[in-house]
Order: sequence, then structure tokens, then C-alpha cells
Amino acid sequence: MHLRVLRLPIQFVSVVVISAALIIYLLGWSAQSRVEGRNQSNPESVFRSHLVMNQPTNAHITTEPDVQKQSWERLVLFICPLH
Amino acid sequence: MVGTSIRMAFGVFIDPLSQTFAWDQGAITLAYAINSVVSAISSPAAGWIGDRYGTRKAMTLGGVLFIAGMIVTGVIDHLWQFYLAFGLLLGIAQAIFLVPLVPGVMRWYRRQLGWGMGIMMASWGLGPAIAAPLMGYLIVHLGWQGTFWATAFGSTIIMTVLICFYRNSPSDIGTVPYGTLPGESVKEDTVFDKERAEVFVAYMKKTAAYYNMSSIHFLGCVGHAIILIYLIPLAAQEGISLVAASAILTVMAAASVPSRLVVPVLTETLGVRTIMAVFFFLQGITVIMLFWTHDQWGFYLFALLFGIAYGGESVGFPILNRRYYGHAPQGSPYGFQMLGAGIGMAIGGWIGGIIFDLTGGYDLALTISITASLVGMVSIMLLETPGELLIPDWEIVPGSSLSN
Repeated sequence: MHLRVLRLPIQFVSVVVISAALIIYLLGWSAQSRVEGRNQSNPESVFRSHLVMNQPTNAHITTEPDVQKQSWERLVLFICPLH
Repeated sequence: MVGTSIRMAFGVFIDPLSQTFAWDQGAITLAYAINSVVSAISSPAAGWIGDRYGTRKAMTLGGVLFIAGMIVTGVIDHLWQFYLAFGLLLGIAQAIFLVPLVPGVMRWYRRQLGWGMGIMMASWGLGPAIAAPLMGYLIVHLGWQGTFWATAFGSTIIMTVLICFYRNSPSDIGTVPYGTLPGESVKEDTVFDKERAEVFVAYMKKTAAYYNMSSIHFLGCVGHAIILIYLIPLAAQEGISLVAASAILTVMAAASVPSRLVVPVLTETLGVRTIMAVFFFLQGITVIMLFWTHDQWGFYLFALLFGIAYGGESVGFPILNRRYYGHAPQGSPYGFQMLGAGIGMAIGGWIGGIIFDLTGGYDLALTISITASLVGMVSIMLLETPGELLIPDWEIVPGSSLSN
């Protein structure tokens, strides 16, 4: 007798879930890589990074990347828990 | 043969299009991914069209869309037009070629279905083996636009002649399916019976095999799509010329023809699940060679071995459908399986590019290819035994309108 999840065979559900997880992970990795790449090539962000390194720990200087994220990058970075 | 040729020979158009329009390769290959996704999504509907209107009318529709798509692709000058023509139009045409034709062939075989499937599947391998070098030749002499138009013209003639000769079922010419014994009554699919097809689909969707075969098809296609799309770039990375790398793909397609022909026959004698599992295993295990292949002869050897494995990997599905569902309308179950296959081709075709951009190599993609094929092998072994019909009395199940 086949085990079922949500009335679908567990084999089928497993393949769908694992495949979706892999795709989301790769997309998240790609999005993070692209954002970091743009961040590093942005002179203002590089300056901010140096500024943070030379300030007291209680200084409130944001290190948020200043580069614009594309919509799909925001979406996958939101969905993927590992990025 | 015509339908699979264009998709499999897509790689030869990348450079000419890039040179003409200065489009980057990612933008061009997105058309391939769109074609695969559209074909996948259209597959269940294509199966329904075949069941509802018959294979001959479905082929006519597919032929018209294919020729229109090829002509329009030859006049594009913007990327969105390329996505529309090659991705959308030809994607739908691809689904209509691939899906209804399988149950169409099945209707002609009472027994020895393996031979019918083998000949049809062999043409799916022969097409790309011929098309890749032919397209390359035509591009050199006619340009890429002329190649699309020449293919449209040639396909029109070929398909018109073939459709004129094709008949939906043996009874159309007063004969019986191949393998019918003397005195044996033949309950032929009444494929134009809409109600019968709909009742069958409702019961079929309650079987685990309906879903699991789609996921198995998906896994197998991920496994070989990665190789089909990225073998040439992988070989080029090792310093092999583009011409020699294209020939590797031709060797692979040609090597797949004998196994496409023979494996369906083997499934009927040695067991369909056993043979399918063996070829899924071979498709996965041969990819391991690529981690250590650096020379041209090594790639040709890989192409030969992988081509044999890849050729036999998917040809058992129609046989399995016959074992599970008998002589019921086969368009819809096969359509759902082709949906899984198409999504697998799209993901496999796209995933290698992302991995290369992130890691600078294809090792992770090859690992995913191997894993997908081996997981597919395990899934096949977990399927129900094909010795009995899954829904033997679907036409007389209480509550079915056909039981009245």
C-alpha cells in the first residue's frame, strides 16, 4: 500500500519538495552572489565598510548594502532560509 | 523525428543568433527553457486533444503550429519575438507531436508493442543525429533565417505526405491491431468517446502510478538534460573545438538509436521495471566518467556509452502505461508524464548554467545529474508490479456513467 501525503503518493511529494528546495537554494545562492558582487563594486558601500571597521562598537553605522536588489532577488532571499 | 530534431539541434543556432543580434547566450538559451516549459504545460492538453479528436487531427494541428513557428522564427528581430516563436509556438507544437503520437502507435499493437514503440523512439534519436550536422550545413550555406525557412518547407512536405497516409486505428482500414490472435475479440479504444476518456481519467488519477511515473520521468530528464545542454561547453572547457564538440553530441544521438529500438522489445521479455531501472542506473553511472575526462577520445567514449543508456531510459513508459491501464485512452496519463519530463528538461537545461556562474565549473551539475538518475532508478523499483491492471473494472465501477 502506498503512503500518501495530502492524498498524493509520498514518492511524488518527496521528489517535488526536494527539487523545489534545491531550486530555491540555488536561486538564493545566485541572488546573494549577485548582490554581494554589486555591493563590492559599489564605491560607497566599500567606504561604509571601511568606516564601520574603524569605529567604536557602539557606533550606529549601517552596513546594509546600498545597491538595488532586483525583485526576484528580494523574493528568493526572503524565501530561502539559508541566504 | 522532425519535432525532436529542432529542439535537440538548438545549440547550433546559438552562435549565429548571438553574432546577428549581439544577444548573450543566457538570453538565447532562455528560449530553449521556455520551449521546454511550454511543451511540459501543454502536454496534458495535447494528450486530451489526441484522445478527443484522434491522433491524425492532432498531428495536423501540431504540423500547422510547427511550420508557423519555424517561419515566424525566421523573421524575428527582437528577443521577445524569439521567445514567442521558438518558445511558445514551437513548444506547443512539440507537445502535440510527442504526446498523442504514443497512444496513436499503441492502438496499432495488440501484442509486441515493444517493436512499435522501439521504431517510434528510434526516430526520436535519429532525428537529432541527422539534424545537428544538417542544420550546421544549412546555416553555413543559407544563414540561420534560411535554415528555419528551409526546415519549414521540408517539414511541410514530409508531414503532409505522412499525415495523408496515417490512420487513427486499424479498423479505419478494415484490419485489426498487430498481434491479434485468430478469433480474438478486439475491444478497440473508442478514442472519440469524450465521456469514456473523462471517466477513465477520473479513476486513473486515483492511482499512485499516475503521479509516480511523472516524477520518475522528471528525474530521468533532469539527469540527461544537464548532459545534453552542457556537454559541449564542458568539452570546450577542456580545449576541444566547437566543431569536434558538436560531433560528440551527434555520436551520442546516434548511439541512442539502437537502444531506443531494442529496449522496448527487451522490456516485454525481461520485465519493464527491471529494464527501465537498469537504464536509469546506466544513465547515472556513465556520467561519473566526465569527472576524469579531458581528451577528445574520452568524450567520444562517454558519448557512446551515455547515448546507449540515455536512449533506453524513457522508452519503457508507454509499455508500463499499457501494463497498468490496459487499452484505455492513454493520452492523458502520457500527457501528465510528459509534463514531468518537460519540467525536468527545463530545469536540467537551466541548472547547469546557474551552477557554472556560481562555481566556475560543472561538477555540482554532474553530481545532480547522477543523483537524479539513480533516485529515478530507486523510484522505478518501488512502483507497483506491472503484472496486473491497476483499475481493471473502471468501465463497470459502480457510479460510473458507463456502467449504466
